[in-house]
Amino acid sequence: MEAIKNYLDSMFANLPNTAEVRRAKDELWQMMEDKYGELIAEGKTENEAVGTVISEFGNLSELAEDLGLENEVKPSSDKKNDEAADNDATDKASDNETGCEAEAEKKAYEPDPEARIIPASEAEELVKVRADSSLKIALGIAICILSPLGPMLIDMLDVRSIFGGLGFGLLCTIIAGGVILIVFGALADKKYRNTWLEKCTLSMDATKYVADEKAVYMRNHNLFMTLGVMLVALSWIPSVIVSSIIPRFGNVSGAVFFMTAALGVMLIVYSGMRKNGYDNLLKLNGEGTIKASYEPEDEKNVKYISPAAEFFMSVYWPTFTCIYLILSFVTFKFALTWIIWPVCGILYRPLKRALTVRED
Amino acid sequence: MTEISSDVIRGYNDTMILFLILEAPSYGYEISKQIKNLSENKYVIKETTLYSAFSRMEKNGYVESFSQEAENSGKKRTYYRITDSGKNYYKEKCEEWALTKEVVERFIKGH
Repeated sequence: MEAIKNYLDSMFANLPNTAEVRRAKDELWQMMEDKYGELIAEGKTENEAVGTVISEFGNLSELAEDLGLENEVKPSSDKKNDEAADNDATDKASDNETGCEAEAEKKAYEPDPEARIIPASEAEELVKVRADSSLKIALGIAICILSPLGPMLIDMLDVRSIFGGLGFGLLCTIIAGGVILIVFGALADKKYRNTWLEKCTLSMDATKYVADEKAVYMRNHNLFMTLGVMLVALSWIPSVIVSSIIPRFGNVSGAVFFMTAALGVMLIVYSGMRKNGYDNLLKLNGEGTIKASYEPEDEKNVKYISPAAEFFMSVYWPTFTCIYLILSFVTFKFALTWIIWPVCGILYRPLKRALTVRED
Repeated sequence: MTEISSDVIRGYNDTMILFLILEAPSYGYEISKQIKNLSENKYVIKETTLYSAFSRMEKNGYVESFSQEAENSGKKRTYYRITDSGKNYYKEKCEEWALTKEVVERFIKGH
């Protein structure tokens, strides 16, 4: 049954998402489902039933005129379509000759010959690459935030008099470590970002894979974001508690503050980057096709003008949080540094609007 | 074994479908199954051919569609019912076929 659904999905993947096309797909699905059910009830094996249903499906070009799709559904039998190799509907049916027939038909519907089709296996890899680079960049940023811990430690051990400038050296070393991690993360992300530069689109299987993975991840995302924002906003609470318990070690409470803030920022950056990763992959499908309907409605109109713009907006809050923390602790002018928040808040919407492509 | 030519039968898919819904409304798979049975497995209509015929005939006002739940499974299906203009069209097609058959027969050897 799943194989038939996949077959039908991939046949319709690149057709415009109109009421007529959706209806045709629904009706064809009803018929295929009925036929499959009856074949199974007659005692046919799953493979036989799938093979029969697919071989008796027919040809989408018959519907082209009825659906007003003469341009989209155009036979081009000599073109190679990666999607066919990627679809397991045909694999499952390929032990009888109908599989080959179905595959030949699928090759005939290449929507945009210039766009490279990303198969599910590659989408899986891209999702992994994104998760890996998100973790590296988030960790790198957290390490940078934690860098004042170096001088604090030196200070606490009271060895400053012996090694002059050691604290500052340690601070720089830690920051360098963080920056290296960020650079590695950005390099790892290159493969992912390339999908923006070359003309790509996801295969139907890949689209489903990314949409499913995203749905699973979204539960974590909401948790991580809430937790991250709370940790950053309330990062002074643990340090106040610590300083009231052990008031003599001012540095410990300072360290606790940095650690809480670093953890919060890390969660926000990591989760934000991963979510954007899924969204941008789904956006590769373009608008208006059946395939693109896998993208959540509210996300549909947000498309950034470039990957750089998208990256900038995803690190917007974490960056200014860092600036706030650094400025606050370097100058100790808490009475002034808070101004960053309202300024960032006011700038956020116009910036987002300026960096977004609007198609309506 | 001789197989039916889809080019020839194309003009009469509508006739077969309308015949099957003359008495009572029916739905996609039921119609395709009856075509197969009545033709003694000599003609299997493709799903896309069937849907294309439905959508064309609906546009021309020969059939009307409505959604109904199946009695036993509770599955929602699209049923098609013939209209008065569909009945007229069916009659015309029957007359057309009688004429076509009569003409073509005269050129067929081996009777």
